Amino acid sequence: MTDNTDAFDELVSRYLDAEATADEIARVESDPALLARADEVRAAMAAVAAPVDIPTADLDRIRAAAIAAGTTTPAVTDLAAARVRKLERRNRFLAVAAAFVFIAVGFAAVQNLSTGGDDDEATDASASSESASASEMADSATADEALEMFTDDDDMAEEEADGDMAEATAESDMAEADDMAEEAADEMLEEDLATEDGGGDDAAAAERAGIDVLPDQLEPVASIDDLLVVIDEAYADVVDAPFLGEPFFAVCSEVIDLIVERQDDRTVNVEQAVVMVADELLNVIVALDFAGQRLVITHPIDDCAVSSVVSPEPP
Amino acid sequence: MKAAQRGDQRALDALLKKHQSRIYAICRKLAGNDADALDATQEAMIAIVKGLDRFDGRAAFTTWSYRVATNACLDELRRRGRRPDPGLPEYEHADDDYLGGRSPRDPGETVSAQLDVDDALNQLPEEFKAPVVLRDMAGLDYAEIAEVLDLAPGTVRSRIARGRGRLADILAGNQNPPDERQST
Repeated sequence: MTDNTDAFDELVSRYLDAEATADEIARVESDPALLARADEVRAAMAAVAAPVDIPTADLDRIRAAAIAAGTTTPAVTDLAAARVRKLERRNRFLAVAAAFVFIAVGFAAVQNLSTGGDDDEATDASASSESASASEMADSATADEALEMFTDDDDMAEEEADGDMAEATAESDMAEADDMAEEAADEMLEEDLATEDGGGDDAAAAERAGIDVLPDQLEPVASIDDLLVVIDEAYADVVDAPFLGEPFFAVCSEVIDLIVERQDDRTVNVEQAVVMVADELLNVIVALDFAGQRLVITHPIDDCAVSSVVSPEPP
Repeated sequence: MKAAQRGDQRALDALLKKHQSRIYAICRKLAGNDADALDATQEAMIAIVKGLDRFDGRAAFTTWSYRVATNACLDELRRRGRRPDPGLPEYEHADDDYLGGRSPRDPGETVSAQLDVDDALNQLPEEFKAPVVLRDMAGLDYAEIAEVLDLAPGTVRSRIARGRGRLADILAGNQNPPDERQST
């Protein structure tokens, strides 16, 4: 092979892909070395193209595991829960912000009381400080000054105006704190909604988590009875479950119908997992009601329509 | 597709089932052995499921899923950082035949041929192996491969040509590419 091997291989590759020009085709087909090279490359292409054995059972298993792993923290945001979280965060921020403002106002009032008569104080502090400073000044000032203090409309108006300004400032501070708190809460909600995986998904899942005692994919079992034993053991310490608000999220309609038929409106938690039962891949659903009673439903992994209740037995 | 993106598990399962064989085939050629290929396929499927809400439909789902699968597969293989061992039990029989001096290109020896292709592909640099597999095994055209691998079409053509050439040399018994052959 010469240093032109790469150039020859590009020509041969175009020829074999039916993308060569007429001149290039003629060149290849008139050159025994290029034709031989084309044969070698064609054999290599055929070797790569040779079909592989498809392990269908393994692929079905890992497909189910991938769906379980990829959908337990659903990409679709639970809007109701997100609104509740936003409201809770906003309230917490507002409470903290209000506390800070109150402390600042109170501190200023205390300072005003101790210094005696600084007119740049907040409303409550102004009112008390006015009387305090007025009485002090009445004690120490001349009668004319005291008379002036109490009868001078301009001074009173000015003090009232100062008090109003202080009150407006305090209210403005509160409103600003409110806006900042709301903005921060909105940013946190945006982060929540934009989260797709990783720690954000974990946080979202933790926030909406009710009962989640089963792994996404259970160990294979030989029978439904064995499956029920596994579920009983997993739920042994479960006494009750918080109401999620949307227990049927990501549950197919046929399963929902079965659950509602048995539990009416008492369902508080629904958990799903994938399990191989005697070589059949099943989706298993455990629905918990507020009394702690479990309903176990199974269906083939790709056929929700044949869902059936496996526990408890129908009466 | 829309139903799968909305979280309909049945639709998602059907979508993955439709493409799982081709995704596995790509991973199998890239990985060189069944075990690594299955692990890589699972990683690819998880990446597809988790990224499905980001699929905006501008590209064909096939192209998009191959992109996700190829990247997931290559990432998985880089994490493992090892090459397939021709001495693995699944290759014992083929190894004996190969060591017996029979032509590695004997079309009657399917297992041996697969071993040869796996070994030959494994000797290709990653930048050649992925485009060759996507072209000659998955049947993607150059534009699709360019999109999958985020390369310019001209680069794709060049890498496919050079990858095929190197593969041909390896399968023909020239273990070192022409520019690396040492004179004896």
